[in-house]
Amino acid sequence: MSRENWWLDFIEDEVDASTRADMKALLRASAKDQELVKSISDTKTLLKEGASEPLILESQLENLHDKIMAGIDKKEIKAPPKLRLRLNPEQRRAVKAGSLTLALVLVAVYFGHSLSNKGLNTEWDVSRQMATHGIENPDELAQLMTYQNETDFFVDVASQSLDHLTKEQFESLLKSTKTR
Amino acid sequence: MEQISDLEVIQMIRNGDRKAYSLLVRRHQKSLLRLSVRFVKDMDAAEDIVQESFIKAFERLASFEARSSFRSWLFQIAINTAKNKLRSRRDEINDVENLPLAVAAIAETGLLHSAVADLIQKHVDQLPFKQKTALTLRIYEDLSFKEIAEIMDCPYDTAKANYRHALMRLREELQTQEDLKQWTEEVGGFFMEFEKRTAEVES
Repeated sequence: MSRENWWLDFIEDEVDASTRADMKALLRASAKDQELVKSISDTKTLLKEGASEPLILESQLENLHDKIMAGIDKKEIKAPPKLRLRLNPEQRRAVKAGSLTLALVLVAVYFGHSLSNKGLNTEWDVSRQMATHGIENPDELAQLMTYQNETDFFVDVASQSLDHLTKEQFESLLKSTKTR
Repeated sequence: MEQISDLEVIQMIRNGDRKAYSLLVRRHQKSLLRLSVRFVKDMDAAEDIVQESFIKAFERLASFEARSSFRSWLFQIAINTAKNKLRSRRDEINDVENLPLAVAAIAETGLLHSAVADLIQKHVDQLPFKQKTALTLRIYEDLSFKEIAEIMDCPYDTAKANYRHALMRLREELQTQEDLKQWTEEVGGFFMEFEKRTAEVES
C-alpha cells in the first residue's frame, strides 16, 4: 500500500484504534507525512466547501412529490421474477468463480482435444489439472477473484476510456493495430 | 407516522396502502434530487431522474429484499438512471467545457465562489463515471464505503479504490490551481481540516 493510500485510510477513519494511535505518533514526528496529510485533507475540504450546493426550494419539492405520487397512481407493483437467483455479493463472486472454472474446463477441453489430435498431451494435462484444481477448491478460486478488486477497477477505467474514444481516435487505433 | 422505518412503510405499501409511498418520497426526494443534479447538472433533468427513479422503485418494490437500506437501493436506481441519461446525450456532454453549469449558477453565493465551484465541477466531471460516483457519494452525501459499495454494486475495496483514485487525481490537478489556493485562504476553509487533525494529534 502506498503512503498516500495509508494516510487516506487514516483520514477516512478506516484504521483500527491501535493502528491509529501508531499513525498519530508517526504524524507527530514526520513533517513529510504532515504535509501529505494536510494536502489530502485540503483537497477534501476544497471539494466540499468549494462546490456549489444546489438550491432546492420547498415548493419545488412539493411539486415533485405530487408529480411522483400522480405517476405512482398509474403504476402497479410488479411481481418479482420467479426464477431470480437471490445472491448476496459474496455468493455472486462464488458464482463468478464457478463460471470461470467452467470456462477454464471448456477451454482446456477444446485445446486438449486439438493438442491430443497432434499428439501434444502435456499442455492438455496441465490445463486439465488447473481446471480440476479450480473445481475442487472453489474457495481458493473465489478468494483469488476477491483479490482482483484493483484489477477490476483498472479494467473499469480502461473500458470507460474506450467508451469515450472519439471515432477518429478509434479508427486510428484500429489502423495501427492492422499495420502491426 | 414520521417515526416509522422505511421497511415498515414498505410493508404497509405491500399490504395495499400505496399512499404510504408518499412518506418515502418526502423522506428521500431531496437527497436524491441533490445527487442527481450533481450528475446531470440540470435541475429539470434531475427532477425527471428523481421521478423516474421513485416510479421504478415502486414498481420493483416486491423485489426489494432489504439487503441494503431503501435509500441505498433508491440511490442505485437513480445513479443508473442518470448514467443512462448521460449516455443518451453523450455527444452533448463529450465536450465538458461546453457544459451548462446550472448548479453553480443557481446556487451562486458570490462571483469568486461561483468561479471556484465551476472549476471544481469541471475537474470532477472529467473523472470516469465510477470514480465520480464514489467521490460524490462520499464527499457530498457523507456515505460510508459499505453504503457506497452497495449502491455501486461492487466489493467494498473497489468502492474505496474508486474514491481513492478520484481524490488523488483531483489533489494533483487542483494543487496546481493558484486561484483555488487564493480563494481557500480568503475564506479560511482550506486549512480547517488540517488544523482540526493537528489539534487531534496534539491532544
